[in-house]
Amino acid sequence: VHSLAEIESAFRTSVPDEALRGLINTRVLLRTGVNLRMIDPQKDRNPEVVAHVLSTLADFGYRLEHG
Amino acid sequence: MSAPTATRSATASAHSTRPDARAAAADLLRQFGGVEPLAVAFFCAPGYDGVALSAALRQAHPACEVIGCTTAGEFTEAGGGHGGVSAFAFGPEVVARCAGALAEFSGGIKEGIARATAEIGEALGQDLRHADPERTVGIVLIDGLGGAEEEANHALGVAAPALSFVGGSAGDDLVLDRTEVFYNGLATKSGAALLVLETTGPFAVLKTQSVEPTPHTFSVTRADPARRTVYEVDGRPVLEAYAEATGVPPEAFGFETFMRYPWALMEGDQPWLRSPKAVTEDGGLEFLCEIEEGRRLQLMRQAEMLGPTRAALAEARRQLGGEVQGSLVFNCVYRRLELDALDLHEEYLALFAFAPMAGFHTYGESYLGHMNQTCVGLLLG
Repeated sequence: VHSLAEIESAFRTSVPDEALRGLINTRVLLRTGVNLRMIDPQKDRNPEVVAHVLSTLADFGYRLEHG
Repeated sequence: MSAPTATRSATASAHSTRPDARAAAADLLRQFGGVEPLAVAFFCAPGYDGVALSAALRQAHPACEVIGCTTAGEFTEAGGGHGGVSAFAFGPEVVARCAGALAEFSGGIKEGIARATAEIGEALGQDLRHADPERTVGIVLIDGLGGAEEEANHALGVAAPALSFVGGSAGDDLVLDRTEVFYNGLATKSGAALLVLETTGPFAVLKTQSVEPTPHTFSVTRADPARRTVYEVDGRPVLEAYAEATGVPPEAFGFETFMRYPWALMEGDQPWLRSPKAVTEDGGLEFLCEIEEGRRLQLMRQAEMLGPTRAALAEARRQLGGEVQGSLVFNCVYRRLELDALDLHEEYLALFAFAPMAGFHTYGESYLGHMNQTCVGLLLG
């Protein structure tokens, strides 16, 4: 997983429940400033931002592979 | 003050201005009428002995979980003010089971929340991570002066990512000296009181703010999140950029400007408000929320409050099929000051009069994270 778009895709697969995914997405936004439902192209492949989002999702128990 | 109760006396709200904690508790219990509470939330002026108040409430109902905090004003659907205590009783018709705990932050915020949520999980016989989010909801009351809200809300997400915790930061009538939270006769000035409810029916979370977007957005290029202070946006001094966007010169910045022009982290068209608090001596803008470098925020403009609140309540009630048994409301003190200025408290509280309601004016609001200038609430169906 190298980009926010890839995170969003992997997270969508990992959490098919839309309501739950929406709630976690909001938690991620408030923690990192990143809205996975509306990815800012300037941040999409920023390694620091990608790592922050991955570690935040991991905090919540969603461990996505970091490439 | 007498307060209506919902059908089946599922819940009750109460308000007392008796200055003695035990007398106030007796007054609240009398107003609860036929409700046999499984849990009580109370919100008291900073002068109250909250330990004695919560102990007296619990003495009357030994199996009842009691949480509370100090406020910047307290209210029910029937009225409010500051200097008294409001309270809400959850009867067995709306709550199947519940458990609370006090999270102490002296040994770390993350650790305090982890311990408290583990205690609650143990009491309920279930890891909160696996609780049903459709029938389980949390209430969180955090001390309002320690700046711990971001970490506390994140830690709640770590402990129970699928659950909603709704609440607010304790106040002290704008003295900014000392706030407290209470649980079952215990108190802390650095921590949070938590209550997790397993509801018998559906619930809805209310989140409403009264702002409209301006065309101005800022990318934060220099900040000190630990001090909740921003120094530069888009490579420019923050005071210069804020002045240009608001039309208010930096020397005139003050509470009125900050309340009128909050900033927002946008989620689509949904704002999560961050309100400025003060100009710092080193040229920064201090906020009531943490803001990190790299964040993009939109400048908002304060708008009329009653209409958006009415609409948000209508939507929450619609989600519950129109039947609401009661509600808890956490309303930002900035909103209270606006209500003060416009003399709108009566009209505002009347919006909540469809069922028993109790709440307080907060130093910050919690729902999935920490925010400002917002009203959040829990409506029980």
